[in-house]
Amino acid sequence: MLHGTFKALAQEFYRFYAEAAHTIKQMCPDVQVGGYAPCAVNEPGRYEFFLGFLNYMDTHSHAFDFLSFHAYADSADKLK
Amino acid sequence: MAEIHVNALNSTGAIKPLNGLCNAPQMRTLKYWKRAGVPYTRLHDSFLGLWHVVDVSAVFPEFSKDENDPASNDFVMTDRYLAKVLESGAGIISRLGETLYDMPDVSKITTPPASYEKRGRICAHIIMHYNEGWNKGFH
Repeated sequence: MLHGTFKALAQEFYRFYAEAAHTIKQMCPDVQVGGYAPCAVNEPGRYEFFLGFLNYMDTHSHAFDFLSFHAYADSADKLK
Repeated sequence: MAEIHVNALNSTGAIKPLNGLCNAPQMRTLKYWKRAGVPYTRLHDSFLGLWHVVDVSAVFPEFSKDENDPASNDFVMTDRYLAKVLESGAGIISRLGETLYDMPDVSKITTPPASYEKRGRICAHIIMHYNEGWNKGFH
């Protein structure tokens, strides 16, 4: 499970994004579609998932116009 | 400690605005948003009072319903919420996702949907509502 936010394996999440994004692109071809809006990708566990997502996009996705991510700067360590 | 060096003689383009915010202004903060010239706001964990808005499950609460039927969607409160952002002049960055905070049934949104393509069609209709006016939308 992905950090309590998705009750399935990582590959399933990647497939979820790829298929949903592809459908959106088919219906809205002029819209830029991207994701997956993770936070703290540099933390253990999350970074491996992040790399897996990028790898899946390289080999499976037809709708990945941008990568979105964010960080919570609630501690000085997270800004490094 | 990192050092930052600035070459003021070399112009590489305009500085991107960095004063974006999150979610919508409230009545008492709207004037400050306008004064600050907030360029964009990202919508996440959005609530209008106690109303859950913006998220895909807020607009399309019953996944089993027909995603191509406009009546399956409930845009009312999310439209009101986004109207407050538009009044501020800020652009909207909306993510088609779900909030985990203060939700009574988290399992409903952490369980993968039965059909990823259907989820995509639901999201596409949300985009069409705000970008093209589908289902009495505004754009």
